[in-house]
Amino acid sequence: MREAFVSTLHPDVRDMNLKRITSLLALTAVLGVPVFGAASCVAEDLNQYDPPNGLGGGYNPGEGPPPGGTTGTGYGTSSGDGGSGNGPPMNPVCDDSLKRCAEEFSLADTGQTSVELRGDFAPDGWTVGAPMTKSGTNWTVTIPAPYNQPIQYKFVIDGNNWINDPANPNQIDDGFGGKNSLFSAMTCDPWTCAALNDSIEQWRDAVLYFVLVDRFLDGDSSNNGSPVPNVPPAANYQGGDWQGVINKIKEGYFGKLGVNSLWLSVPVDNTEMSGAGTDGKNYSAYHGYWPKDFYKTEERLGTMAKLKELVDEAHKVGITVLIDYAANHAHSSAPVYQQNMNWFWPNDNMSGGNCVCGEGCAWDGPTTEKCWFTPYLPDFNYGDAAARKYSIDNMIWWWQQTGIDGYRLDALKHMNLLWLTELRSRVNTEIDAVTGKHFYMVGETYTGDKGLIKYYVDPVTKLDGQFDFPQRAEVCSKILMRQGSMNELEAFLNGNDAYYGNGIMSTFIGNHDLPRIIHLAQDTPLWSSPWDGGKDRNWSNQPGLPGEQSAFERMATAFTLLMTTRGVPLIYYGDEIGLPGAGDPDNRRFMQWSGYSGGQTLLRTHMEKLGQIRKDHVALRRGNRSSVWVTNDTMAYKMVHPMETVYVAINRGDTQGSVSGLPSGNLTNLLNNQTVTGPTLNIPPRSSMILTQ
Amino acid sequence: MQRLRILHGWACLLTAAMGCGGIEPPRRECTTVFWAESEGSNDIRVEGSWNNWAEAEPLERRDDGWFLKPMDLAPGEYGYRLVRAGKRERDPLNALTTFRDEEEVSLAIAEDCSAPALRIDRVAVRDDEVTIEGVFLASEEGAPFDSRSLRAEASGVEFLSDTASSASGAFSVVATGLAKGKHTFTLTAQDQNGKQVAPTKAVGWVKPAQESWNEGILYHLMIDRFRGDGGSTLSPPSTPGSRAGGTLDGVRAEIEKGTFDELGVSAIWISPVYTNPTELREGRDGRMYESYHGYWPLESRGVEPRIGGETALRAMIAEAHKHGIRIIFDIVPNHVYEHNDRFKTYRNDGWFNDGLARCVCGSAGCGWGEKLGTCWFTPYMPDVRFQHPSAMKAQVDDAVFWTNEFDADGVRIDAVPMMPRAATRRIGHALRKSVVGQDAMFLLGEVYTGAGTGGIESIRYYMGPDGLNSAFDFPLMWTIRDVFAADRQGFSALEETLVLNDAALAKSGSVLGRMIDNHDTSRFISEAVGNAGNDPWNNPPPQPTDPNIYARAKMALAFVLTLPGLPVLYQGDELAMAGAGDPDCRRVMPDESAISSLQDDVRNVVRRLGRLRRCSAALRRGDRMPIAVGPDMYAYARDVGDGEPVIVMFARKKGTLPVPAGAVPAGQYVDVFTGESFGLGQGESVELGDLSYRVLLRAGSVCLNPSP
Repeated sequence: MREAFVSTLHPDVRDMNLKRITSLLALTAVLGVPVFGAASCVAEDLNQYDPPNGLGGGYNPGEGPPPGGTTGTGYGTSSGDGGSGNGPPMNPVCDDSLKRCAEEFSLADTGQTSVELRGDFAPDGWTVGAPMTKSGTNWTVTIPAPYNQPIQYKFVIDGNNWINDPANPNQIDDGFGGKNSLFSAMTCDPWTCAALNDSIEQWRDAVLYFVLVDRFLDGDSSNNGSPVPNVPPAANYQGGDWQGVINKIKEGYFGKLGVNSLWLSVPVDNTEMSGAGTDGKNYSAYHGYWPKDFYKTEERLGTMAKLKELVDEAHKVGITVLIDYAANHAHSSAPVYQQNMNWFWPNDNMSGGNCVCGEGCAWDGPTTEKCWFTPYLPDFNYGDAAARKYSIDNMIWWWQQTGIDGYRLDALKHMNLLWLTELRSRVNTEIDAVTGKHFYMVGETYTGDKGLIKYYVDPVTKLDGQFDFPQRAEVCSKILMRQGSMNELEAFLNGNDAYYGNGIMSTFIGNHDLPRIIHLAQDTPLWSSPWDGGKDRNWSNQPGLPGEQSAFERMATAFTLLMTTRGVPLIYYGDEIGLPGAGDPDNRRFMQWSGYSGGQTLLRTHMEKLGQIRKDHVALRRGNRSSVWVTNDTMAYKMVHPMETVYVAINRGDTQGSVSGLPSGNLTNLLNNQTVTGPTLNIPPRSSMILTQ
Repeated sequence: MQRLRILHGWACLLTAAMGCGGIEPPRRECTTVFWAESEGSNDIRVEGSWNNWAEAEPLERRDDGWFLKPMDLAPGEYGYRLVRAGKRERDPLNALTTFRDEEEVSLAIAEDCSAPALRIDRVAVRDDEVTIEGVFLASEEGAPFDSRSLRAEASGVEFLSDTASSASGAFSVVATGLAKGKHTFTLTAQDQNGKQVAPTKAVGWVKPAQESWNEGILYHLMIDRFRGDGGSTLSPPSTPGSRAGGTLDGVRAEIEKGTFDELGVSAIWISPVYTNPTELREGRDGRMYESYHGYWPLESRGVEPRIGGETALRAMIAEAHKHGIRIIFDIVPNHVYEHNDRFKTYRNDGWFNDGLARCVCGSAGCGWGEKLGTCWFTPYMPDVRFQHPSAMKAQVDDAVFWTNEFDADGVRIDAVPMMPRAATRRIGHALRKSVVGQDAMFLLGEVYTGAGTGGIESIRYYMGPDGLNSAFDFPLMWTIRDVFAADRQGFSALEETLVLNDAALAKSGSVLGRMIDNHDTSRFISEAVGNAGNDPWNNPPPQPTDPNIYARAKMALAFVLTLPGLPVLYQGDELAMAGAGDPDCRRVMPDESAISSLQDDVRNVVRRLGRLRRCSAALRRGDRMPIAVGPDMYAYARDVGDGEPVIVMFARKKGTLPVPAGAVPAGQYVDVFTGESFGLGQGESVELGDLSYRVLLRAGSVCLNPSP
């Protein structure tokens, strides 16, 4: 009883555990009584109060969380749950997980044809590996090895024989009853940081324009030749050539649009023959995807000297040039096929049928790499080192002839991945090392599967980026077609911005395989899905130019998004004027150079403004995007860069909308140089604003 | 700052007896007193939000050297700073903080003393008897204790006071003949004018599974993936991200069946029970997920109907308490789901890290390190801005609501480093204030870290008497996986990590949760096979069939179950369930008939060691002393000085483990698992096989055959 009573002296007692109470009781018994014995009833007497007894009981946890302390080891893959999941990198200089040590692996040469290092040194190191090169009596490769992490590895001899490192006694169970070689964790100083170097990063400043050369401008009628017999005009040559592109470069057409990079359709000599499409129509090789002589230019487009002139003229005005390269196959008339049939997969499914994709063989699955797109397009087998060498030698040669700055590559999933990794490796040593610049390679994998797209992206070992089909579908669906809500677009972008890591993706809304995008922007879209190929109206009942200005305004708004976010925006020729057309080949009509409607003029003027604004504002090219506001029809985000912050507001709706959360006070709308007042703005229907403080 | 509750009244009572006036009852006293030590300055002031940070007022020096300033503040929460010779600082003697805009400042809580209060000083349990002692404190101006008014209610039974004095305010309540389990008493009383005290809680445990947290074993289960109603087996979900249909009644049925008793489990941490959204959302991996895990709080105070709602929750907790098992809620103060009313109502009031600063963790420009405190897990998970005092208070009050309303015994706090430390300290303070009794409340934090010193330094920042009681030992978990699963490091790495981590938390009074995997990591057994890195969706690792792999799991479990600290079993650990990373590590618990003999062996080891931990004081609270530490062999002893040490040995490769003379008390020892006998203590050695372990007790120990 007495103890309990005395303990009431102590104001803190309820917060303590019993052990603490005991010791405090003793203390109070000694100190408390004399103090209070002298106390009076006057409230102001300071002696009536009992001082605090300190914090922490001798434990000082510190005043701030330690920096770099919570770096996880990368095991957790938090999937939207509450766990902190992936350890956050904290080191402002270079997180350990990004540090790399140059480590050399070697194997004695005993006559192997090829040797490859495979292991867990990279996320896909077991499937992709690092090709080793023979130097003296050894095969060697130097890889950027993860800092302070052990590496399990094997050598792959001649493509299929997996062996352990005979020179390394250190092994570990591989989980399948065998062993892997084990390279002990190593640190190094100096290390390199896996972050991108600047020459790669500079590609973020690019704005790309796809010129389907045959359909762009006929600058030299002498090379037109005669039409391929029995082929309708829409699938035949129409006279465009490199001289036409040169004329437009000199005229400043691209510069006005803010375009500083051109993607030219395939320059390689193509067959003069016609071929049947899967739709039963006859086609010519106007598109360039039926290569015949890999060491010649297509004479209907121009000579090699003309192509070189194009690249030189472009470089003079700060425009880079990428060429489209069709590596997956050759035309059956190609000498390389006639003379080296063993470099190609046989058109035989080994069950009595052909191996045409979608006929005797499947597009996907085990025959993905083997199948022929059509019976007249023999498919390269890039498991064959000689075939790879032929192809890559040829690609280096085109660069030597012309001085191009990069390639656009497609059909990647139909080729052995070694082709791509070897190509990048040789580009690194044979091109980048000479130019001191980074050769940009952008791929096309036509899919909504982000994981599949990402698989080919790594600026150091594979592609710099790919065309962002999933984002295109989202932008078309939400802004042009007005499906769902802008909340969904915002959520998509938030998950997409960083999805491809170091990759420099190309963002777009239209290309040569999809129906012209203006028709998705019509008041009533012609197709209900952004993925629709528009093949129902490509040969008959083809759509004309929409009359309603609203369609052009929606396209302008969608382009605002592309031109104010990271990535390399792609403009498919004609989209700057809303060129009409259904699916392939109607989406490849000849470029319209005059007689624009009001809507077309509005769109092109807007594109020119966007081009200049993107050029003038580094935050739009290299900044980080974060959301500011979103409603069903409106969204606002900001692009933040150490140099500046730029705000973007979009209203996809057909009535005035508003956004808020912008900075208070005056803001300048760069699209019309007018001043508006934040934080809340009214945005007219189908329009956008790009704002600075 | 120091809250003063009774001193004034008591002082007057003493002096009254010496001629100061009439008899005064003990009284609440709500003067707020700010304290400071000189530290070389005589100019110490205090400024605060009570007058909107107007001019700082000086503290007065007392004869004993203390500086102090008593203030009568209206009830409420206030921010304040000390100003020492013109320099502003937080009160070094006060762990509680709040925010003034972005600046962290000290927090003063002025209580409302207009009603009387009960202060409970002691809750003692002896056998089936609980004694509660305390004092009735009259309100500031109010009447004394009505000594007949005191009531203590527990589970519908009312107890009257055993003693109660209106003069001294002292009272005691004695409840006898209580059943095994938890007894939460709600005490009420009134003063002689009929003015009621706020109901006050006291907890007494009769024959609990374990007296204190750090002597027990914690079992973590994900409700959706555990059992269906009545304990029925669940079918695997249609996708790894879908709901499987587990319920709280499934948990209740397993408790009733004795599943947890058999494992020696003393507490269960259940996945969050908040009502979650029904729609599918994209996870951080780009896949679509349902809210099966509970970490998307749609209702901050609603119980998910799909797991059975409130009724099932209460029934489950009552069943656990009957078994002497504590229940820990998983609380998620860091964020809410985007359709949570709180976000909808207050998103524009600064309660969330929204607007211009908003970004998703790990996206470009929004690194985990750089924006840890403000970034959003996903675009649909608004991150609470604890810098807003009302947002902070709402999240703190939620924690008290849950434990108070459902009589839970503690909380596991999600994503601790994503909130300012002020948040976990405030939650800790509020929860500890909400109930009295030994180990009545427990706070366990998730501070997800990597291995090594960096990891434990992050953890220790949140620990201590003013912070969390416990955190998961992630650094040790990674090392366990390196050593036991993958042979990436030798046993010395374990010893180093244990020494380092225990040293880092010395004097903190905290206990580390020790585990081999959890719901965010791949399963230990799959790490041992080497296929833990498989794609969780498309290539889930199969349950292994190699006995050597299971031997590794048994070793790792024997390790955590014989360490000091709080062993944490994640559901399925006892069956060495396979699984790649999240979400594949969250498979449903298999039907009894689907458990292989290899898995059953693992479970028998866990059950045996769970029972042993319950029996052996050395394992619960003994010191740990290493005996031998080598790359492939390891031995340590646990000893509490009662003559009943426990010796634990591990070998990755067959060999002879020397036990130096004097390393353990000399005598005969018996292997708990094999029954083999060893004379030890005078320089003998013990043979161990490949991938083997031994747990040795003194011959004749009662724990050799403990009752279940």
